[in-house]
Amino acid sequence: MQSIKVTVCSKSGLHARPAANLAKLCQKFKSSIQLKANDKSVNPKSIIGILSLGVPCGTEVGFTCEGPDEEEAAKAIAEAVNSGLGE
Amino acid sequence: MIGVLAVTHGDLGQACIGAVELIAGEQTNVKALGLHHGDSPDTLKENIRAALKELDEGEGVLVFVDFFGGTPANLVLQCMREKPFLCIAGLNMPVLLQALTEREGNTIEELEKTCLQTGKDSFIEMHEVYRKMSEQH
Repeated sequence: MQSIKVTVCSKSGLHARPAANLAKLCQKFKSSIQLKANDKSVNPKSIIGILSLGVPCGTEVGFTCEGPDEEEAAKAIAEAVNSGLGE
Repeated sequence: MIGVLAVTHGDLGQACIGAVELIAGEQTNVKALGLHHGDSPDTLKENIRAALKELDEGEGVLVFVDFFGGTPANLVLQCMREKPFLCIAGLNMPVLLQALTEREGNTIEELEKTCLQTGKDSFIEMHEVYRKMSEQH
C-alpha cells in the first residue's frame, strides 16, 4: 500500500474541472484508491465523490493506493495535484 | 462503451450534456432527445427507438428521462415493452456527470445503481453545510 499526503494548490480547490482531471487520472490505474480529506474518505475515481469533500485550496489531503500499480498511481497523483490538476 | 440517452421536455437533456462536457470534456456515444411545442409524440417515440439502436455498441444503453409521468417518460415506457433496457427518471448534473464519466470498467447494471444513488444524494441543504462550517471556525 502506498500512502501520500499532498496539498491542493488549485486556486479554487477541488472544484469541477480539477476533480474531473483527478478522476480521469485515477481511473487509469487498476489499484483501489482512497482520497481522505476533512475526516471523510471517498473513491477519487468518481468526480462526484471528489466534489462531495468540498476541498478548498491549501488543504492537505491523503491518498492511499493499493494494488498492482500502486507505486505508479501514487507518483502520478502526487505530480498531478502538485502541478494544479490542469488549472 | 455504454450508451447514454437523455429524453426530456425541451432542451434540458442537450443542455445537461453540454454542461457536463464543459467539465469532463467532449463525450461520445451520448444523445439527447427533446419534446418541443408542436412535436408529435409518435415521432419522438420513433427517435427513441432509433437512438437506442444507434447508441448500443454491445454494452447496452442507459436511458434518463426528466421525471416520471411526463410524456418523455411515458414514451420510454412504451419502448420498453418492445425491448427491455435500464432507465432512470430524474436527470440532473451530478447524475449525468457520473453516468458519462464512469462508463468504462462498469457494467450497465453497476452504472445504473451508482447513478441512482448519486441522484438520491445530490440534493444538499447548502445552508446547513454553511451553518456547520461556521460552527467549526
